[in-house]
Amino acid sequence: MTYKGLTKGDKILIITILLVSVLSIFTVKTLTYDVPKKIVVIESQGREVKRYVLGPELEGETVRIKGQLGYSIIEIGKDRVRMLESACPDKHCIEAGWISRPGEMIVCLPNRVIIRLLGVKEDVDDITY
Amino acid sequence: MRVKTTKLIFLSLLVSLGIALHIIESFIPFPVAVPGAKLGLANIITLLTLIIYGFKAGLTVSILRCIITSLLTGSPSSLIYSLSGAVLSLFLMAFAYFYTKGIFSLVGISIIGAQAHNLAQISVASIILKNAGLFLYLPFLMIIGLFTGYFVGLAVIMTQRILEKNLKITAIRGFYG
Repeated sequence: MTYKGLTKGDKILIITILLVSVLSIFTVKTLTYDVPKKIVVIESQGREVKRYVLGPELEGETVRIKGQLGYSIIEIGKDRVRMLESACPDKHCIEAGWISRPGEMIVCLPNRVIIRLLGVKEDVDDITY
Repeated sequence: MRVKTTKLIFLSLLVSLGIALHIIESFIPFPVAVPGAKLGLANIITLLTLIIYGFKAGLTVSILRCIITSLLTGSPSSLIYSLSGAVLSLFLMAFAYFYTKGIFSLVGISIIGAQAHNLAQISVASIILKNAGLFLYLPFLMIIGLFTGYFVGLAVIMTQRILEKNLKITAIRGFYG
């Protein structure tokens, strides 16, 4: 079989995948707007273990969370949060860096630790993603 | 009997090539920090097995490759992720190759495989972590899978051309080959 370039089906497939992914990235970005009050939710092995309301008083705090492989250390900044240390082998969660927008999350699959940011509207007692 | 032995040897070679590619792949730094994103070089082998030896052989090779690599790299917990991805992508690629003759080239089939792999891994991960929010990563993985799938497909086309020229592969082509 000689290669005759992309077929029509290929092109339709590629364009569809591009459209779907770019559109969904934009939808997610518009849904995760910046809000003044944010909540950090830390989950380990499928269960929520810690929950903080971000504020200046928590700046510089570190939290030790026990995951499946060992401890994960999470650093809380003024309006953001990151994975400082992790017992996982690939360290993708540390490479992810700081997250600061509600709806963003850091996932450590090997250690089964998830850090999620939720936004809270000031007047309504409601959680938005 | 001779044909059977030749096939057995080729399949074992393909398994070991898949394992080697999987391990080499982990040495190549990947510039995008999205968890689960990878080149998917081992899919070259899966797709080659599928088009040369058929569906059953492809399934055997990819399952064996997953089990052995997870033992070799010392992370048996990742077996369920790689196995689910490999099996779903193999099923969809086999379907696209044998039942939609001519619509997709091998590049398209390889892209289908990459997307199926992403979908399966994200689904399994969100079931294990009990968090559907992981699907937020899917669009990023889809774009990456588009590029890696494209080049994996090209690699398969080139490899197949050389294999057919230089080896007399006594293959039984077909879905149940």
